[in-house]
Amino acid sequence: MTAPVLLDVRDLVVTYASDAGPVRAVDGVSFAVHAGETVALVGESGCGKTSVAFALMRVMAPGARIGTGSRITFDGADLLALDERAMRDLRGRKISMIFQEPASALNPVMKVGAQVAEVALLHGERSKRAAWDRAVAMLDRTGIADAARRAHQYPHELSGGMRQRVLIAMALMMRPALVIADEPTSALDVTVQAQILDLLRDLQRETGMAVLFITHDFGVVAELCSRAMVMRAGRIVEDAPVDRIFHAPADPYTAELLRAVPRLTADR
Amino acid sequence: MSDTLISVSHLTHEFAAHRTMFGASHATIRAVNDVSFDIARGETLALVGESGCGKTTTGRAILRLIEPTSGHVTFDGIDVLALQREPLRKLRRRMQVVFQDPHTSLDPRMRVGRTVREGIEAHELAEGAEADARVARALEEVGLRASDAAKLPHEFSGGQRQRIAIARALAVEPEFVVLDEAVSALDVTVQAQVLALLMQLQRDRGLTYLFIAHNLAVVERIATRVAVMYLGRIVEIAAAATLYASPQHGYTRALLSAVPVPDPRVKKKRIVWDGT
Repeated sequence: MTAPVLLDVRDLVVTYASDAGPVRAVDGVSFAVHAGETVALVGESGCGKTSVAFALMRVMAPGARIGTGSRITFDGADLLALDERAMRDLRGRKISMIFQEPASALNPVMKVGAQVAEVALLHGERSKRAAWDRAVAMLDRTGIADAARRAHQYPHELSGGMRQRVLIAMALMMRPALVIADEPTSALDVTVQAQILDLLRDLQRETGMAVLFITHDFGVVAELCSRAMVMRAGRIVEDAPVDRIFHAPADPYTAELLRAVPRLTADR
Repeated sequence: MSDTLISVSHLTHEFAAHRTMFGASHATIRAVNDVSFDIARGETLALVGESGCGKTTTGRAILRLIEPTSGHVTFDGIDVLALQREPLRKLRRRMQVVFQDPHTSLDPRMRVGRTVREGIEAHELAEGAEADARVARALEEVGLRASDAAKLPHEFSGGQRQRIAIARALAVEPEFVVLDEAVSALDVTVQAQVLALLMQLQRDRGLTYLFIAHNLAVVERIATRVAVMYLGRIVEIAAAATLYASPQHGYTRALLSAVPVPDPRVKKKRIVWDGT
């Protein structure tokens, strides 16, 4: 890998408060993401993969804490040392996130065009008119037909796949260097999922952004990612190029997961 | 083998799309549109399709959890849609359902033993110590312990909760079970275990399943026959081996081609269906 390291995570620990004392959801995780790379963070529910994503964005649930020995370096900056104002500037502009549930991630009473335009307005765009035009262009780029008209619609007027395209438009508006995608296709039908994966692949090639793809679905990992990190119980048990993960997994848990993945006979 | 247990013919269910303020309906949507199929005793018919295709509505209409607009459903020769309240209640012992989400389908404040026991008592299959024994047997049969009867749902994992839902359905000794996305919410390792359990129970008891699902790879593991639904209609129905090896309908082909391959060395050609 010749591309420079964009994100470097060292010994990340995330704890949640519970009645029985702090619980370690992320238990000493270290990894790097290079510029332009698409990496999967894959694991079953409760393994801590989403907690890693939230720690990277520094959006923490009440009672959640990042361990004092943890280090997150993004584009040379110490992410955990930034004040909230600097972090707010970074979010959406240099690192952005695509969530699983487009229905709950969007504001139900705001036109989708305005929600995409808002990202530009938060990050330096002065003209509302220009922000709206940029939003329409971005919606068009994510494959929304008749984007100028759709921009005036509300989330409930759009299908699930289209709402996910709106979220992608918001995430990519500022051409971030890193996009964290948390199960972005898990709630979608397979034919729509296939379209969204194609879209992400195209946009990734076009913009050179790095993608950290958080998922439980090995099919999606194989389709989109060049490297995969397998998480179990708060730790990364294996970090390797996808070909090695799928054809010569070093960790027994990775092998067990792969054996359980349902696959079509015709695809074997 | 061709002993038909369920027969569905010309089943149609319409929902009101818009209503006036007095409840009169302006337009209707046919969620299920002239659907017909048979299910043989002991087989698993899978009903697959994407969200909104009508597969869940079809399952519910067969069980009469909703009243379909028109059509016929027979169960072991009984006209299900014509039954009055009491005979329908009696028939419900013979046809059970397991839903997708074990977090919402179990009463969070009811102990697991009570949940499983309810059906046994409602159908007057047993009482007292004999009912306790049946509950214990039902829990053990799905891989749980008899002592789990004293626990509450939140003390179990998602996979264990789905086992409880299966125990509840099977405790009344049904012949037919509708499995509505019953393994969809589970992690793959747990999903594989619950699927194996369902197949084992089917062999042991000669159960007949209607397996409603959207995941074609999961369906291939369990189905005897597969019906593909699209916009309320069955577009293709065939023996599972035939359907997976040589899908006939354009929509089935598109659906199969969209399933991601869990192998980076395999690049599948995607087929797009234009709806014709």
